[in-house]
Amino acid sequence: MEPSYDREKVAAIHRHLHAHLPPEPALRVKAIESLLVEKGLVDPAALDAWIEAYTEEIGPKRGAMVVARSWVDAGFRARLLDDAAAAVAEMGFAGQASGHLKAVENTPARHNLVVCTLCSCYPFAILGMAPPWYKAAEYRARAVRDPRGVLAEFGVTLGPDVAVDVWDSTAELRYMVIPERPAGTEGLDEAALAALVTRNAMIGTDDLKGGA
Amino acid sequence: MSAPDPLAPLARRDGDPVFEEAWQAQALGMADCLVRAGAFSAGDWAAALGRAVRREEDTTRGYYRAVLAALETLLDAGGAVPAPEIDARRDAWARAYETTPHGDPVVLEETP
Repeated sequence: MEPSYDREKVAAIHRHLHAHLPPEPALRVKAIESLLVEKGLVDPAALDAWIEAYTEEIGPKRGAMVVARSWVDAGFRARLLDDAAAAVAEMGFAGQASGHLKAVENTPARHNLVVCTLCSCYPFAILGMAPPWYKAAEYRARAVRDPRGVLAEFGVTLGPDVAVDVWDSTAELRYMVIPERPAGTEGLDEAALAALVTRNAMIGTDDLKGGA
Repeated sequence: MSAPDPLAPLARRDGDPVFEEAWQAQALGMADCLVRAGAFSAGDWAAALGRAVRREEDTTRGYYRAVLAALETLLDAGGAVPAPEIDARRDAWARAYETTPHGDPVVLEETP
């Protein structure tokens, strides 16, 4: 039997309707969001503010300002290394997700690299959202197994005399790297220095020497 | 100092956007807001996300599917939003999208 006109029509309507349907994960997110708001578990204004803040990627600028301050103010640097959460709060960046922050400093003899081997723990209140590669299984595995290989991939080549420390961020303790101040920046003020600090430098995959 | 290797699997993802679609930011934002509100702990979130990412493909899209799965798992496990409730609401939104004329705002029908 040939398909009837109606069956064709129904199929066409079906295709049309499905074209309007958001993708499955978007539909589920919408469902969850509407339920959470109804139950009072999520404040829609807070969620909107979160999305606006993190899609604008304001985060890394805060971290860069922290690093620049540590380059020009030895007292601040000491406090940052001793208690990063308190030092960051000094700069007005107190608050959620920076409470369990640990700063580790690069030196001529030691390079630091941060990973979250479990999932994607990251001090996003200070550094903004983690880059996609930070969340990749490949990075989570290789950063521990072959940190020098990962660093080389990002253009950071270390001499054999430079040790590499790999820090595993968790939900309770998140790390940020204080990179070395680039040579030839003696005349720059704090704001100009902050502009030199990249997100990757604060993860450890950039040494601010022009490679990455 | 050498430039990053453009063919290297990690470095070539360096410029990728953090979010590819709006739902990805919404899912992660909800999870973080729930941690801040104390609905579940940061440790529970990390553990659930860690389990979920191992089941997904190693892409940005896979990562955010894992975020969504971890969120649903914790909401269901804690009793805050049982899974059947999410499924039913998803179907309600799908019906709303299918029956709303193009250009009109999509609103949910009254739920009992």
